[in-house]
Amino acid sequence: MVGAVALHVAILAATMFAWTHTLDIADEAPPVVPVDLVTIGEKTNIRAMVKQQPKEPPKQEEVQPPSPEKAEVTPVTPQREEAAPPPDQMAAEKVPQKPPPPPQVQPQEKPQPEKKKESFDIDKMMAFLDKRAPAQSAAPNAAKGPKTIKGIGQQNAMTMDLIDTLRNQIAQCWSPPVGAPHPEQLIVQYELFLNRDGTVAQTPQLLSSTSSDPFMRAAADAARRAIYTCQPYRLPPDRYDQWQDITLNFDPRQMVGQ
Amino acid sequence: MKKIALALAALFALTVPGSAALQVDVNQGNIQPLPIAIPDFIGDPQGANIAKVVRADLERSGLFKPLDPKSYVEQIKSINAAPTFANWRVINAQGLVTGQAQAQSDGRLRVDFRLWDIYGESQMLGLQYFTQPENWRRIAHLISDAIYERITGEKGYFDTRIVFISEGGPAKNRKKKLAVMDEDGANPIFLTRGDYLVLTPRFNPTAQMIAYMSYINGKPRVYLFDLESGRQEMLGNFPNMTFSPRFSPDGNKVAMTLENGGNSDIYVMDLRTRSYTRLTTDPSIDTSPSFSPDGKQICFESDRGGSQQIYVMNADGSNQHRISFGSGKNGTPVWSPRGDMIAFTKQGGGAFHIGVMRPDGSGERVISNGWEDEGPTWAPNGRVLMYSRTLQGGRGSQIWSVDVTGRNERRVITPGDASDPAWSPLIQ
Amino acid sequence: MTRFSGLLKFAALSAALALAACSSKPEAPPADNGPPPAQTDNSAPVQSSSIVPGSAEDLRVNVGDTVHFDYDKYEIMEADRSVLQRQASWLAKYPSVRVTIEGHCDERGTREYNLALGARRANAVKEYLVSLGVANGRLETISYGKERPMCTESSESCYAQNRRGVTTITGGASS
Repeated sequence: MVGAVALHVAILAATMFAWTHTLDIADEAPPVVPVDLVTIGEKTNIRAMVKQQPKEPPKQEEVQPPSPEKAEVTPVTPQREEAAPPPDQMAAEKVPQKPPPPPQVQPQEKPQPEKKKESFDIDKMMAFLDKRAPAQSAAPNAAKGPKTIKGIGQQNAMTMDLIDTLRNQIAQCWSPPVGAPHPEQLIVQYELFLNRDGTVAQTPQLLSSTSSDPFMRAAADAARRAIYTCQPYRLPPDRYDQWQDITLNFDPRQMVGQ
Repeated sequence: MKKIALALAALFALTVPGSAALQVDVNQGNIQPLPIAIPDFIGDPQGANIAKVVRADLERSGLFKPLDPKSYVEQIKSINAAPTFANWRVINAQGLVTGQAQAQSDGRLRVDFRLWDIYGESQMLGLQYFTQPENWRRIAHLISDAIYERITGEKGYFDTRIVFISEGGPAKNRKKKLAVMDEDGANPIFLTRGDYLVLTPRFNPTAQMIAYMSYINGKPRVYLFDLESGRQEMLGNFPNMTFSPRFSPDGNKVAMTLENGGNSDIYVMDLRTRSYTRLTTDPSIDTSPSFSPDGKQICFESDRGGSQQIYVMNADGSNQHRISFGSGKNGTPVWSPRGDMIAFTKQGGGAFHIGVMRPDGSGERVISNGWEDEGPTWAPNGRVLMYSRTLQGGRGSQIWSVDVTGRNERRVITPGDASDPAWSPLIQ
Repeated sequence: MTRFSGLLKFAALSAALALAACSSKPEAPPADNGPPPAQTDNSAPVQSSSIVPGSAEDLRVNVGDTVHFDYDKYEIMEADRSVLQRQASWLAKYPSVRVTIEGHCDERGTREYNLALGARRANAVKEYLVSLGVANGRLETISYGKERPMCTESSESCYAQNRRGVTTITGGASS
């Protein structure tokens, strides 16, 4: 009976969360227009040359070399001619070009305001950081078993089957960035709360450091996508107390080079 | 009621952290492209074309799976409203790109787009571009680059070009033309007519200059081709063959091979002073030099040890040492722009494959599957390679690409047969 | 049935032609052939009587303009020395002739390596001719690497034909 009540509360809670969550977004997201201005330079001759092949819908026509007679040793002239049409535009374009590519980077910062949950994560992450970090970096590839931090070692035997089940399920959904320069460093840790039906109960909390490294951020995103896309998790409901709270340690080291 | 439930849930949640979390190490994954929805951009009709190019770019990378627009449940009406995320979860999209193209009163085209995280229910990226309408393809590539970078953490490579050799004619006497095209095969342009043999073109770091080898006037020499002026010039005035040119990362030097009396050695020419320095003196074949991205080292190939193998030396020629000790012969080393890898051609068992290894020679992996694959070139992000694939029995040659992990090997679209690709840096 | 026998005849004829073509290839260094068939095609059929002494064709047909090499090697093979000796005598007989020696490789080498290897082969031929008394200044070399194969099949017999040094006249010949 108690279990049934708890279950209902949990499910209800989950739906509530989901519900309010969407509402939040719908309410506040639209007006935020975090778009930056990036002007595309017109200067490079490259593009002038591109215009040389004006109406070339490339893919289809590639079979025969288009206009092979185009240019020999003196493509200068054709280029120049082609480049000629837009000279005034080009000149005009050079002005706004002063703030060149860099702006492209900045806009990525802007969407942040919406990510209130993530900034919340960071606080929480800080609290966990000192505890997790050492264990994490010390863990060799082979150490598959649960870590003995947090004094839960005695639980291992009881929960080994749950761990395997979860690991196998989430492995299907996790597509880590193994092509990154140092994929072995992209270890990501999340705390995950599940509902009794195996669905994600609330936004997973990122425990590991995101830093500002774009690779780390990509790795964290990939892990979070895995958590969401894999739900609902198929775990024994009668042992819900053992898996309602999960720490997931996404470690791509064994996949490097694959 | 809602409030009560929330309160209860909060209470419930509070009790949870008390119990220890189950620790799960996830060590194995399932490498899959990211399902992403990219509806046609709204507004100007060009928006549909832009979305099409973005879909094609991302699909080609092998890291994304653009979903079929026919499957979309929701129609994007405004890019300033958040999408209904549940509508995109239904089709299993994990990312969504919404965009809009608008003709401006000054004749320019304005393009906005947003990248949405479907499960995180948030915007990941939002950018806006202005350009002349005829540059819409470039805008599309820049958008692809921005999405790629946000999702993978590394720079994209779609706004780049490829210089290559376009081939035609009989197998015994191929007509070879110098050509450039966009990374996706669009806008191919021929820079020579095929009256003489041309080989091994390479871009300089600004993508404005090409160094290549030409048999014009019956003398095989290295030439520079200035794309801006169209001017060509022979690099240096040497009595014998010069070949295998490659620019230094700062673009001020060209490393290349000079042949003299049948012996080939590597030299570096300073493009400002036109002075040159000899780097190798061995009586063996020393060729195919390629600078490390910091310009401090050069990898090259030599048969000084009895067979063609890969060596590394300092940029002044000192400390020459062999790094390839795997099976077979190994040649045409090319240093990754990231610096972490050297790609090369591995010859053994009657076939040629593309391989990668670390600059100390460790971690060798073969990443291509052709019968005769050779001459790798790196995307500017060091993530993807292109190379020549010669088909067995004189059936021509093609350009192929593959991810550095060995995944996503696929043919690159070229006008007719093609070989000797070289990737440009990101276009500025 | 008639069609079938026709096909058979055609097949037989093709086979014969192929055999003939093969046997005419300069695999071994026989005394007086070794002409690259593809190049002789454009001129009149081989009739030594019509060949102008001191001409390019004379060199190609009556002297032999091609030597071959082992895989990834550039030493002049024993069997090819007679060809180069005849070339040297012929060049002595026509002192105004200048030649360029082409070095070629089979496809089983990377492009740039083969350019270097072709240069080695051309130079080996040149040095041999010089050792036989041909003036250094009359001899130039050029490497084509694997860019100009004689034969395009991916087989050892084909590769063997492609690994070659070819002496070509660049000036001073009779016509």
